[in-house]
Amino acid sequence: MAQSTAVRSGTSLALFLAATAFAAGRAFAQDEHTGDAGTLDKDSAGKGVEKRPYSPYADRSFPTRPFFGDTHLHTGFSFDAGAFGCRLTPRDALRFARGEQVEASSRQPVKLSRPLDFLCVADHSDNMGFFPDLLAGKPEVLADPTGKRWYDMIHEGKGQEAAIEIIVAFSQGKFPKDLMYLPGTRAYRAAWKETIDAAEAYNEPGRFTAFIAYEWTSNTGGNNLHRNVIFRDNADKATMVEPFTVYPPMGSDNPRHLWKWMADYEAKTGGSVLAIPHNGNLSNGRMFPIIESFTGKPIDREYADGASKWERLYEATQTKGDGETHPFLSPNDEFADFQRWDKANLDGSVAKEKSMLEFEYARSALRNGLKLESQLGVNPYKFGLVGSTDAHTALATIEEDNFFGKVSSGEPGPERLVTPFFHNKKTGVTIMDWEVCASGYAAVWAQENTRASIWDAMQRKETYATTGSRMVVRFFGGWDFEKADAESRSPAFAGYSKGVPMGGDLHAAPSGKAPTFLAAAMKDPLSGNLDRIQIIKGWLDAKGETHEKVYDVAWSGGRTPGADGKLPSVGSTVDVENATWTNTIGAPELIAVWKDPDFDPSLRAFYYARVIEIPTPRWTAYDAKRFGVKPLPGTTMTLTERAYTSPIWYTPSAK
Amino acid sequence: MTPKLLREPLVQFLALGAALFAVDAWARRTESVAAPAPDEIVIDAARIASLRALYEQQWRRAPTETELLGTVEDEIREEILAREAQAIGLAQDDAVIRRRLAQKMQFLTEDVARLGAPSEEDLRRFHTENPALFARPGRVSFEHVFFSRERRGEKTQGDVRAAIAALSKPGADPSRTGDPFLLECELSMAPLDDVANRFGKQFADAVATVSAGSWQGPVESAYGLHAVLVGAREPGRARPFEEARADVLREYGERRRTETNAAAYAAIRGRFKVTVDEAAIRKHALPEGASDR
Repeated sequence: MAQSTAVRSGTSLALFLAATAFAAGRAFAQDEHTGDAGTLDKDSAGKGVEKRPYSPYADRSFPTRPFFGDTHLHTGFSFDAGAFGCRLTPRDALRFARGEQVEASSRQPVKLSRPLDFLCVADHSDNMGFFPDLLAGKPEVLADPTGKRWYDMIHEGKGQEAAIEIIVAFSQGKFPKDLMYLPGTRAYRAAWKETIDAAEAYNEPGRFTAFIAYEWTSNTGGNNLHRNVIFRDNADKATMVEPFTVYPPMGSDNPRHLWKWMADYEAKTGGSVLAIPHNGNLSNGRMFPIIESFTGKPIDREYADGASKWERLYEATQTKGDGETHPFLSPNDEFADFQRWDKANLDGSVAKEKSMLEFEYARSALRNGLKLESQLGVNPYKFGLVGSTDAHTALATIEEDNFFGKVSSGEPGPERLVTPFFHNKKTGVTIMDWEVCASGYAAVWAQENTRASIWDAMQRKETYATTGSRMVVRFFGGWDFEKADAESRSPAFAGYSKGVPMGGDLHAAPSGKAPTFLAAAMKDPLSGNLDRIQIIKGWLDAKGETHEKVYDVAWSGGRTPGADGKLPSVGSTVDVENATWTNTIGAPELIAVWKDPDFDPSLRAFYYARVIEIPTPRWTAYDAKRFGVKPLPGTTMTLTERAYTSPIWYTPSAK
Repeated sequence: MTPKLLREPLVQFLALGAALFAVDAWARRTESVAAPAPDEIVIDAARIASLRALYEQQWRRAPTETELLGTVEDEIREEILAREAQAIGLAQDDAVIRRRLAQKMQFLTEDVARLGAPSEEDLRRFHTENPALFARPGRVSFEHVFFSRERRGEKTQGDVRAAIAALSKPGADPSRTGDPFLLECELSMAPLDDVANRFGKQFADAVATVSAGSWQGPVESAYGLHAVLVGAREPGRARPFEEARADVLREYGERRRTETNAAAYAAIRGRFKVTVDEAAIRKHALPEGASDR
């Protein structure tokens, strides 16, 4: 009903085109006996997806469910996680993600509302395994005066301060050389081996996927350029290498060298790896450069090739803020101001300037990617989107009512509503604990729950980011979607047969046609209803400038856009004091077909869907209620969870 | 020894102790052929080779003779001072040394716990004693048709009933009824806990219990109402050993590691008389629950 008001009219050529699209035969086989498009009768063609075997489920090979997981979780094996009090190991992290109850580092029992489908334990490659030894007072560590001081601080209960010092020291290149845990040493190899062994022990094809992974932690000057490296392979290949690190001479802080390492790994083992850049919001303008920070020169074709080949996905949302876009970059986007961390870089050593924002948010990077593609011939920033936690607790739990913080010292307790998370004495940059976000998860449309299948779906970017809710989101682009496709019982049939899924490409617009999109979402059974689905378009104009526009394409009942085209707010049912809400507003499911009304076939463009939930209580509201603590003035107490799909790109044919 | 006796923590610990002793003796034997006297320090070829390897790792090249000599001198100095410190009792009451020794002890027990593959008999027994750990959840195959309240409003319930009546006639095609649905419309032997997570608990309970073989409903899910046709069901059941072997191996390994550690600690602790001033604990701690919600 209401959502259909948003559906732009389908093309009248649909009958014929539906048939030709089937002839292209993307995802499922034709019925041999009626395979000729000419025999299609009007009645069934009008339904859009009838050109199939009698059984609607026969020959189906496309993904039928999204798998939810976390591509970015730290355990006590990460030196900073350990400093913040994390005592849990990769094995604990995996047991927890599989749905078991465990005891958190703060000694509280904790369990997920539902198991996750996959997990990447991605501990920092630099100093992997350092922390358990520091904690235990390993003589080699204590022999160093700084190591001794950190050790003493931790045992005097100043673990949080020690953690910050360790991170700052690492960021600023002042980590004591004698303390470095370098690849090639026995301690280092033991930590990597145990990381792999844990993944092997808990990987259960068909039920739960445990990826082998690590995080490369390029952080020079406190500017966060981290990447998570995820192996498609099993232990036999992963044990043939040790992770790439940052500290010279073995490591490097330059992503080009990471890509080289990845290429070497594949050449040496015949295996496959991909990298997911960490949310760039703390990179101070360096995550998606046009001018490379390492050389001061414009990025070249080689950089663009490397980025597009190895960095298939981008982490658009996590506990240290959401990175979709920023109000400064998207002044006309009323949902742009969401869980933003825009004060400084990772260690708070350099304050943020507005000019940096363009090079560290997903949407502006996608826009600049179009521009760079027109100049270099390759789009370096053609990435799909995922969310992940980056929790340093070994606990991938980021539902608002079950949030165990970003670091172990931020696990539930009456203090965390009022304490600072981070304070840089020199610059005065402070981030409060309440600003930490309970976000996000990665959703992957894979055929089955295995390393190979999920990794392949990541590689082809058939993924979306969520801020923690487990909504089901579909997004397809093609030239012939029509209203009937949003009415069919299984919209994915039409989606795969007439178009490409999220992460795909559209080329060579047929004469007189504009791209059409099938966008659909269903709520998380345990979370809020849906407010709306939006499609965000970015494009490069003929003068070489980029633009963006947000379209509402489906929304819950009873609302009509005003004269300014703006859809009225869905409202709110949140009772902050009691941390409750009701699903009396919004819709459990939304679907629409949308056609770009402003399409110019000569211009490069991308489109992605954003799904917004109705307002629900933020974790701060649950804390205030459960601990009886009064939040500080200005604390955000509600939020609208959301999902961002990987884009679909349109590229004009070469002239 | 009988299998039962083998499972006694104390027996395990004694075995562990014997193993440790053997490991230790072996290590000593290989360390240096002739153990030097307490006031003698020998830097032999093996030690020098290992110092050289460490140097290379750090500097990415072999040391010159002067550099290697310097490293050897550092080593000698450290050894002499460490022995002297021990001799005059500096190791006593040093928290760092104490903690490190405790950690080494624990590593040893863990290493021993990991030694060797568990016997087939151990695994089978563990499997028999922990059926719940290896149970296979109930499963159900079903087809369903979704009816959206968002689209149908008040009429939804009636529409489901009408659809069920229509679907119950021969030749009816469920793919032409109902509203769009993004998840599978036909699930084959889906675990009930997975169905609950994805459709809602109420829905999973319904497909677990409604009559099979005919269209039933309306059944409520997190998304709206459904007509459901349940096909086969498989009740939850214990998995036989062979089917669960990989899981048994993993769980048994974890369990044995924890238990061996606990048993070893308990056995050692049993040799000590421990006294704790409980009144003092109460005096110095917050009352229970004071920091809770």
